[in-house]
Parts: sequence; C-alpha cells; structure tokens
Amino acid sequence: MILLMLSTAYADEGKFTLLGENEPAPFEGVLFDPTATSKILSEYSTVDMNCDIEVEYQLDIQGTEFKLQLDTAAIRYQSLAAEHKLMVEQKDLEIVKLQETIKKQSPLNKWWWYAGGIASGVVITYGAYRAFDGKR
Amino acid sequence: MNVVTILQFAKKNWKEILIVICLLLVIGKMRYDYSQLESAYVTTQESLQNQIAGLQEIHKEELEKREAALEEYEARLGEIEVRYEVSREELEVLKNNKEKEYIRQFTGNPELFIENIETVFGFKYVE
Repeated sequence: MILLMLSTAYADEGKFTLLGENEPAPFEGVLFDPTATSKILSEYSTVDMNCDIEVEYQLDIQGTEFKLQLDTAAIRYQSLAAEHKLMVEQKDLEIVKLQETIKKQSPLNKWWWYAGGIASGVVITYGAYRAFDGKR
Repeated sequence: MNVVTILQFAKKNWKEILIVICLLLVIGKMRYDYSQLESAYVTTQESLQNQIAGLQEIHKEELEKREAALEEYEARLGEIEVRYEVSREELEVLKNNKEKEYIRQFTGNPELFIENIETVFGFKYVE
C-alpha cells in the first residue's frame, strides 16, 4: 500500500517528505501534500470502477471471440448439412437412372430372352441336323 | 436375279449365312451392352458434375457467410474498443474531478477530508 502510494505520488508530481521522531508530528511517518494525498485518494476510490471497466472489456472481447467461433461452427455445420443433402439427392438420382438402365436387362424381359433362346436352339439344332444329315 | 435364285444361293451357302447372322447378333448385343455401359457412365458423370457444381456453390456461400461473420466480429471489436476508451476517459475525468474535490476539501473542509481518508483507507486520524 505504501509502495503504491509512493509511486503514484512520485509519478504525478505530488510531494511528500519523511518525518522523524521529535519533529512536529505525533509520530514518525510520511507526509504527503494535499495534491499527492488527493491523487492517492481519488486513485483508490476509483479502483473498483477501473476494475469493472477492465473486466467488462475483457468479457466483451471473450464473448465476441466465442460468438465468432460459434458462428463459424454453425456456418460449417450448415455447409456440411447442405453438402450431405446434395450428395444424397445426386446419388438418389444416379441410382434411379442406373436402375432404369438395368431394368432394360432385368428379369422383366426374361420371357423375351427365354423365347429367343428356344428359337436359337431350334435353329441351331435344325442346322446341325441338316449339316450332319447332308454329309451322310 | 429372282427369288428362286436367291433361295438356291441361300440353300447352297446356308452355313455361311448362318454364321454371318450369328455374328451380326453378337455384334448387335455387344453394341447394345456398350450403349448401356455408356449410358451408365454418362449418368455417373452427370451426377458427379452436379455434385461438383453444388459443392462449389455451397463452398462459395460458406466463404461469404464466414466473411460476413468476420466483418461482424471486427465491427463488434471496434465498438468494444470505442466503449472501453470512452469508459476510460470518463473514469479519468471522474478521477480528476475527485482529485480537485479532495484538494478543495483539504483547504475548505478539513474535517470532511479527514473523514474521507478514514473511510477510504480505514486509517485512524491523530491530532
């Protein structure tokens, strides 16, 4: 406390002196002039307000930084959600188109393939019969 | 060349004709399969192109939003700095006023000055 008072008084051009024993004072000590004493008093009486201002400032800074982090995370989340939705939609479309392509060769056409196979078999068998029969 | 001639030709060369027909069938099937594969490839390509375009758009929007958030952050920081400086200046003015008030008390109202010292620091005044 004394150190604080001394440094403050020295920096702001207040004056003080030291009183020794048996000098015109009831006890030895430090004598501050009115300016130095007023500076010390005013400094001390406003220290709470100064602290409040500093705390509010630091809290505002921190709050703003956290808000930025939160906003950035929310933006990233929105982007990822949009990317996910886009990928799913495009994959669904791709699946539908590929399914349409596959359906052209799907079991739905199996009767055509079945009929074609029988016809081919008949033709080949007849051709073979004629070929071998012709060589006799 | 009439139909009879054609039939005679076909009867005479039916094996070669059959081979050619089979080859044509195989080629047709191959081309059909190829077109199916090409269709699948085009579908996948279109899907990927749409995905790329969509992702670029999303990325662009994200960058714009980030930029806006950063601007808002900087603006808010500026406001905080201004408010802080104003508060500091007001406190400095208050401190100076108090200082002047204490000096006035010292000369005009010493009892109050002593009382202030006792109140603020808790020191005991000795005559």
